[in-house]
Amino acid sequence: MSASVNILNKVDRFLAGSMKTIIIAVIVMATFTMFLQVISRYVFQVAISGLDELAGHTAVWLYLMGAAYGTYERTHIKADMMHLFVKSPRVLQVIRAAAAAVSVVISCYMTTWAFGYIKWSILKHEVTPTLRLPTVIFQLPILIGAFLMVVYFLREFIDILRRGPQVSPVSEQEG
Amino acid sequence: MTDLAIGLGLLVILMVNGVPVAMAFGAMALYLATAFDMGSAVLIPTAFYQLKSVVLLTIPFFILIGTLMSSGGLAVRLIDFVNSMVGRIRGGLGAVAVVACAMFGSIGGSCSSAVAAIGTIMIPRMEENGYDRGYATALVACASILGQLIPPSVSMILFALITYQSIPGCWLATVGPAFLTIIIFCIFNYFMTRKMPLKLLPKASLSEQLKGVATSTVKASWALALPMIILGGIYGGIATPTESACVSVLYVIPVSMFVYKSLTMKGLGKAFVSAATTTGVLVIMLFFVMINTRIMTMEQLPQEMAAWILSISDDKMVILLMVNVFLLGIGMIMDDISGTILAASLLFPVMKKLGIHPLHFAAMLGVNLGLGNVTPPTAPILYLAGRIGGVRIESYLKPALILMVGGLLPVVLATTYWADLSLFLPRLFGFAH
Amino acid sequence: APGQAQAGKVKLKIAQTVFPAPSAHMDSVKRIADKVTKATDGRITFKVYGPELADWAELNEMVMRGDIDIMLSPLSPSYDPRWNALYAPYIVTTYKEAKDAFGPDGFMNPMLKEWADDTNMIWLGAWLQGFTGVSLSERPAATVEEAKGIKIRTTPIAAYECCWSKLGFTPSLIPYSEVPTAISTGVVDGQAGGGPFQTYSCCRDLNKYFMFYRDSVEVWAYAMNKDAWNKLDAKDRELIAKVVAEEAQARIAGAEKEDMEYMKKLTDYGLTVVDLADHPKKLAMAKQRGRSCWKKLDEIVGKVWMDKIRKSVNMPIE
Ligand code: NA
Ligand code: NA
Repeated sequence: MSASVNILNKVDRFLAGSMKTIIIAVIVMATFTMFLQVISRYVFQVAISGLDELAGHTAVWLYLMGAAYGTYERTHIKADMMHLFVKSPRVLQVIRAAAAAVSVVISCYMTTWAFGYIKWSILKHEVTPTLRLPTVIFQLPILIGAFLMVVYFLREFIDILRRGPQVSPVSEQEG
Repeated sequence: MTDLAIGLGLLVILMVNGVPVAMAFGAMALYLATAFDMGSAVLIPTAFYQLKSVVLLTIPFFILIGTLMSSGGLAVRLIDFVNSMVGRIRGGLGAVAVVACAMFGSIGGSCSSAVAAIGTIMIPRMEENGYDRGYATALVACASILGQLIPPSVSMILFALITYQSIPGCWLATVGPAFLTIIIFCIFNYFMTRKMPLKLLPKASLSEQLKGVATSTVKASWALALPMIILGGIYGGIATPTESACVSVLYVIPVSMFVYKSLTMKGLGKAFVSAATTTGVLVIMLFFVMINTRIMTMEQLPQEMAAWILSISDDKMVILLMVNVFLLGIGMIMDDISGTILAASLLFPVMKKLGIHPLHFAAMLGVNLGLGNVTPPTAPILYLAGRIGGVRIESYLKPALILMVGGLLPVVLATTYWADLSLFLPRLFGFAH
Repeated sequence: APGQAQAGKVKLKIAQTVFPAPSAHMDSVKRIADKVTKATDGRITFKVYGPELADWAELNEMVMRGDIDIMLSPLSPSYDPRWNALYAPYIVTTYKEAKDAFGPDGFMNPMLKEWADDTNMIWLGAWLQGFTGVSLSERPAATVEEAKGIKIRTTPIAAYECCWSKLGFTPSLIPYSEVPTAISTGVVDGQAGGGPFQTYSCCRDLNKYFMFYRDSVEVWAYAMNKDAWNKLDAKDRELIAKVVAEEAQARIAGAEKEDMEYMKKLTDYGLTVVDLADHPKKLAMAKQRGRSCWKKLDEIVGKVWMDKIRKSVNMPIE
């Protein structure tokens, strides 16, 4: 039992670490890509093809990893108002669990949609217009991000069932 | 139409029950796709198409600049500086937030980058000074519309390209309404903050005040250079707004680390991840909003709506009102970029027939769809502000609604029925006759 | 995808997403829809879409997948690099030559049909958008010497970048939506790749000169999704092919008329317009320099294909 929990914790830390690494890498890359763009145009009077394309495309990794990390942290944008009307913790727990379940279902759909899209893209050998890189490199984050959201929404759902509606975000639990 | 109504109902129900807004939009997309028998093939590609646009990159970078300025000490010094001048006036800091959004508008082309940068810096600071945090969030969210009313503006570029109007002409058309918005918001701010325990700077003699201004100017000089770098970069013809956003990070980091010594490597990494998370949860929401927009467009629902609204009356005044209702409706259910493209191509011929000046219509559209960014249920800017401010919807929705109905709606009506408000500047610069 | 339920009824989706109504482009797709519906007594009906649908590159993708059935659109090389051949500078320089190359019996047609077929599309005909040039704000430039040091925005396509730098300019890469801002703030001096109509629409207030280099004739496609095409019966196919061919034919004259009309409009608006066709020596020089970029296209498009084009325009094959 404790061994499997141990492994789960390791996987968890690995995934969170990976997301963070990708985010930081994309931001650093985009910054320097844009800097290079400005310098090359303004100082050296030359255009380097495909810098915009590269920055715009890799940014998809940033967005989806950010979204997945937001699900992990449980800091998605919410507009919930039920706690204003419902005072029973039991009922609130059911509502929260149902909300998390809906999120699981939607992100599952997103995952299958993304899978179909990527399959199609690979089949058609789609490439980016300027650099002619396989577009699938930049579509993959949609699939991975969606899948991670399934996992983290599912975990939120289980947490709510086990511990009630007031589950604090992971980031706070860690201190 | 019934399906659209059901879809919107589903969206609202899920949202108030605590489903993340993005996933609620996802559920609406799933419902509409099923109702209209549309394959998943249509859905994801359209979203990917818009995500990979490099212009969208301004959002994470302006959020990042905001975060770094807050955690790196630049923001504190910047606000101290402004406060040294207006800190003795009641509600001064709120007015600063409004004007800051407008100034930021001259850098970025969208509301989201304005709310990201200004919200991150101003909301915590306003709270420290006694403002209600929910109110501060609402104020910044509503004022961030100035981000697209003050040029440059992405939606006005699209409008101009679609209707063959001059781009600078369209940009100037929304400046009049923007100034009206600033004035109204500053007045509203004065009255809405009357009961809040605002902290004002102690009374001081003129020489003491001047001394205070001088000290804070020196302290803020590194921070003051940043807007100059960004604006200078853009208007000096060195970089595009997107490039400026990315590159100015290279200024903020060393200044925070080595000059103010208030940023560590670990803090930097945290700022990166937090900026990416804020962007990510916003983008995933836009992702589904874009899909919904695409489904509605494929089914030609807005066309039906427009035809219906325009069939109601022949009177110009009534039609103008109906057009406002339509634009407001579009703003409530669609994102502003798609909304602009849609409304421009659907309504422009009608407006021409009515004898409305194209730039006047541009301003109407800009103001309405700007407002649409904060009108629920599709209110990405309002929700983003809530997330940045870290407040629940019930504490910012009420002040936001007051600002919308009392502050922004009059601007919409003034823009609609007082053509000179939007046409004065374009005429002055020779873009309208 | 077209549903063929009751009594052979067919519903098709047709789109053009670059220029909204009123435009020659929207008129053309609407005419196609009307003519076909009328000829079949309402058996075939259409949904007609404009720019509210998507951008043109995405429209390509939608037609390939069958989400939209027929398009009038520029072609995206994202799925087949051979479409880059359409970006080859100076294949032709006059409207007569353009007709011989891209008209219904033009020498390019067999190639275009084959490439469309390979990307799940049926080529129905070419739409000549017209010739392109560059708009500038600082000073006019019709020769390499004059162009020196002028930064212009070009479409991010290797052949275009190569062409404009051979013509003496400094190409700069900026996203299309940021072009107007970039010109008005001076990040770039102007934009290349637009014809008189596009320049009038986008940049008449931003630029002072329009240099009609005629560097390339912009060619769009009328194309249909292959699966949707195969589902039609032979008579309907014939009808659609005929109606579209008429449109393509009519556009050849339409392109020239539109170019001339908008060059006049630009002049009337106060811009200085220079047509390189009025300066044969400068045009010949530009043509020679521009065509030197075809080498780059050999690797992207395939030398076999480029040689076919070379042969048709009497260029030596190495
Ligand atoms: Na702006
Ligand atoms: Na809205």
